[in-house]
Amino acid sequence: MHSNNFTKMRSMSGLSLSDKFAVIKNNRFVFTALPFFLLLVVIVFFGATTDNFFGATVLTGIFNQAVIFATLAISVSLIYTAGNLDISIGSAMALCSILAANIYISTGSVVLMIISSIALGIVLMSINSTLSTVLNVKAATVGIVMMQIYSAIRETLLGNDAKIVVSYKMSESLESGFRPIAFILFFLLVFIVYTKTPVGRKTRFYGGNANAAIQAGISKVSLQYIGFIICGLGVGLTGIFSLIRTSGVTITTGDGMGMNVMLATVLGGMSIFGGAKSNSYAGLIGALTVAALNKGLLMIGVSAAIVQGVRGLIFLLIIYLSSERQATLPSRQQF
Amino acid sequence: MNNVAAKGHRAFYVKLKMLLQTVALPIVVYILMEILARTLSGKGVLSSSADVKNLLRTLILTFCFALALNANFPLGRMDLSAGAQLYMGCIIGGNIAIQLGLGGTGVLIFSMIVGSISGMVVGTAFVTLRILPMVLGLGMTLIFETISFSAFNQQGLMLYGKKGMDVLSDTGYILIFAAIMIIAVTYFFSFSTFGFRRKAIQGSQRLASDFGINIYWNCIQCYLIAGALFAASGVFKTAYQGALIPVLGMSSNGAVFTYMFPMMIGIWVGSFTNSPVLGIFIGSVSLSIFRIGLTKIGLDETWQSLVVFFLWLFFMVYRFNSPKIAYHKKRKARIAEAIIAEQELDAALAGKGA
Repeated sequence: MHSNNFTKMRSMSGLSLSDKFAVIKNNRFVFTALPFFLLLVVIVFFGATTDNFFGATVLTGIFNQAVIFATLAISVSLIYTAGNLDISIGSAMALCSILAANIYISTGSVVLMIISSIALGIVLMSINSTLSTVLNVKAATVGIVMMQIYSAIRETLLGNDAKIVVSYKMSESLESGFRPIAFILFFLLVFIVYTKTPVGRKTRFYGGNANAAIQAGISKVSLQYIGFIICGLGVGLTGIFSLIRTSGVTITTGDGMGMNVMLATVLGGMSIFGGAKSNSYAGLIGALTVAALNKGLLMIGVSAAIVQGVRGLIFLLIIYLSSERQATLPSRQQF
Repeated sequence: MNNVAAKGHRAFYVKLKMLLQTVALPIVVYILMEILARTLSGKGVLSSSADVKNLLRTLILTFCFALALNANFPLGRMDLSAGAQLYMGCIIGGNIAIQLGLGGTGVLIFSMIVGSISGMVVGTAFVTLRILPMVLGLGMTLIFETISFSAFNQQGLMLYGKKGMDVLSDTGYILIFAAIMIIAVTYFFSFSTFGFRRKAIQGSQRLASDFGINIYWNCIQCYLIAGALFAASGVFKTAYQGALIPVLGMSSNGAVFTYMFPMMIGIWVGSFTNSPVLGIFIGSVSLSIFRIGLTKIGLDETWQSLVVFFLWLFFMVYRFNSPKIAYHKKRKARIAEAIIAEQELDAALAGKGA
């Protein structure tokens, strides 16, 4: 397979320019390497054009910005790999933050705060999974409806105060020790499940061809539950990360997170429709790229609005370069 | 001769039944909400002219947005840049019209023109890049939000207090616009060459293409019509709220998810008469009455949202399981028929034996 790709690339002399471009574009190594290359380009470019891009403050800022999106993106990787979508994770994360904040305020226990957030994350994602597997509603639809329901619950819980504030001291203490360790452990857990266990292999197979996977005896229900429970773990963890980052929860916590996670995942080189080309680290790469790009552009004096536009253009370019161009128009019935 | 007349009568009754099924939903919703509102708050759902005006304002913006979503949705294209197209159309088109001193109709027309151009840009990008529609929608949202946010000194669109804008809140004007939209979009989607081709593509894109239909141009046309309708919805929304404040961070696509429910109800209701446009109108009317009813009961906006979205969830559970429910119903009926037949046979045999 590897030699076949190289042979193809070597024997391109007789091809037209557009065909040569297509061969390079569709090469699997180019597909895999492109997100890493983009991250490298962003880092090198801003390292060269700004004064202190590699300074501890900037790098910490990039990590702080990326860690929430990256954790959520890693947590949804199994769901995306199976060909499903769930954009309710941001609103679910906000509910986890609200519960965690209230538990901390009433008990003063950090351990209880973390456990309650993770437990709620798992419960919420299990509800989503049940609606999808037991009640047969498509996962994407469940995600959209539950996002609205969780957002409405968030607004009802926060009420007129519109925010809950927790101790800054507690947030600061968790930021330096707990957060990076929890993030690394969670990433390793997902990576191991994804690459070293039958769950990862079966999920990729299922995402690539659901009918063939079912014919081969793979259980859709169990795969989906495992994916959603792991996602719930990540959502609960991100609830804590979000809480300690801002020392509180507001009415806008989690807004647009599902979309941003989708964006980071796709930018990291993963198809949102799953299959064999999926991986567990795409979200991390995508989140780091977005955070580095945001920080770098702001450092060279570009306004927040323009940063967003540039991000959109780069996003579309990368997707175009990393996706196979179909003969007809791509479409998918989501509902 | 009698046979022909009987067939004609049967066809008439079938059509009448379909029509009643279509219009039943808003009537049922209205009666239900009227009873609830009168019992719980002592007021009717539509107790004043202001209530009727509010209903029409909510209805028109819901109807236009849901109708626009329906342009691409049945073809497997979920356009997440819809909200951003609304902002583009309203902020750029609306402000140009205001600067030219045109009234409310001018704002509406210019917004729809810029909205359709935005839609055409998305459609052209889609057929050129062939990126999945949802993913393309995310990218286009980022770009369009940047443009609409930066345009006109980041002021968005302000209609409150501007001369000639009252017309956008006028009951008669809204009704006439809704009627024009129903007729025009029904013609485009159901009776024009574009509509026939769209239906063919909806059936099978590959077959339609092999048959000689230009699937790419048809797709751009769908996006173009959708863009104009998104902008129209935005203009009525702005007229209702007074101003449209520009947003960043993909906040604009929240509207896509909000108006998906009336569109889905509309498609379901429309299936009774094979008219999705009428269905979406009926769906929008029903939901608007439901919302006003909930306000009359005294629920605040967050509780209203909770009720509406739980209703959406139940609706989706029903829709996804309706084939199963129908299968079980038929099975039950078959078993009941078999039992009756068996009992009749037993009775006949017993009669013979006696």
